[in-house]
Amino acid sequence: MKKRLDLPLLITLVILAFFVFVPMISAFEYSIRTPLEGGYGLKHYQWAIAEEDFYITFFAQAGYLHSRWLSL
Amino acid sequence: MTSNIKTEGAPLERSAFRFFKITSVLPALPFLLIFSFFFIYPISKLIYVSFMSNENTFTFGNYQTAFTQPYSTGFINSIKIAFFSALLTALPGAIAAYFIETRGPSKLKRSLAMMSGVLANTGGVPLAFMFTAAIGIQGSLTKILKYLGFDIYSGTFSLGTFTGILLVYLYFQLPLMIIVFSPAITALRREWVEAAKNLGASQFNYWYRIGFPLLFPSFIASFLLLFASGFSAYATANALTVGNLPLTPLQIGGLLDGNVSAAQLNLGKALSVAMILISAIAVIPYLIIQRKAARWQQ
Repeated sequence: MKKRLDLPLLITLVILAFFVFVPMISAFEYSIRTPLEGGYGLKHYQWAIAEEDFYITFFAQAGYLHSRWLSL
Repeated sequence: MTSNIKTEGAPLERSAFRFFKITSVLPALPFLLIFSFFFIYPISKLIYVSFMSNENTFTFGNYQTAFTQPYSTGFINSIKIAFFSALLTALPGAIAAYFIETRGPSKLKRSLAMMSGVLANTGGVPLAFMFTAAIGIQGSLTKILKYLGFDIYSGTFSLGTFTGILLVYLYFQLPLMIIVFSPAITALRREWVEAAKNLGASQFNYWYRIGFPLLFPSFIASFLLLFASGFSAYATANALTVGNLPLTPLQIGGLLDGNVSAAQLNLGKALSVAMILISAIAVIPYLIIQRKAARWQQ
């Protein structure tokens, strides 16, 4: 049996999805902009990964703090 | 015979009662200790220090300063932003929660509950960045809207203004409303609708006499939670504004960072106590409504 489309639920979900995902997608789009060269690229991500303390800041410290928090 | 029972029975009853009380408190002791250490002690200390002058003497001076400019404007702005962000999200959030809980399949409910949990805690600098990327001057949505003929920056709008911050706060307030209001919707039993219909009630009558009165206390409770959430939000407003919008959490942050004059060392503590009091006062209407509604819910 074919399921009927629930219009109020669909409208609710579309509005929620728009409200939730537009800022997220915009943030991603913003992060891959390369204003000097024009267009898009992964330059900012490459720069962040190549940074000396990237792994320490993002993984080691965050992991340490998280494990301390969990142990509490 | 009767007197014997009374005289012999009474002491036993009392001692048994005492023993019962101690054993019932013992398991809760770790919780009470943690609660005292993380909740009672900091608040007591905060209240005590807020009445202390720089010379460690008792004073009302910190509170006198706390309710003068620019701190009084901070309170007004914080209350306004908390109230309007709660007002704008409470009803849409309640309606969304109703449609999701009553019409959504269980998989969707689970996914949305999980997503709402994450989004309700998405605050701070990442949220400020997301909105700068979406509706900032160079934001994607701003550009799309401009292309379509709507320039949101043609007027006085900016992300750092009251309206801008209000808009950003809606992002975490709406999922929070869905999370806290969904259990109230789930508690509405299908049998009540059927019983009302069998007794001749229309859909309107059911909602007017049964549904709304039952949901109202939960709605007010959720509204107050949103108010508290908006009232105390700090990092997002801090990232979006540059001191152009006085808000109490930002002022407390500024005082904690060391922006204090020699005469106001404990001013931040007085502001914090005032914030706690405002939040506590906001709960009073809920307690009154809850007491009245408790009879119907039983």
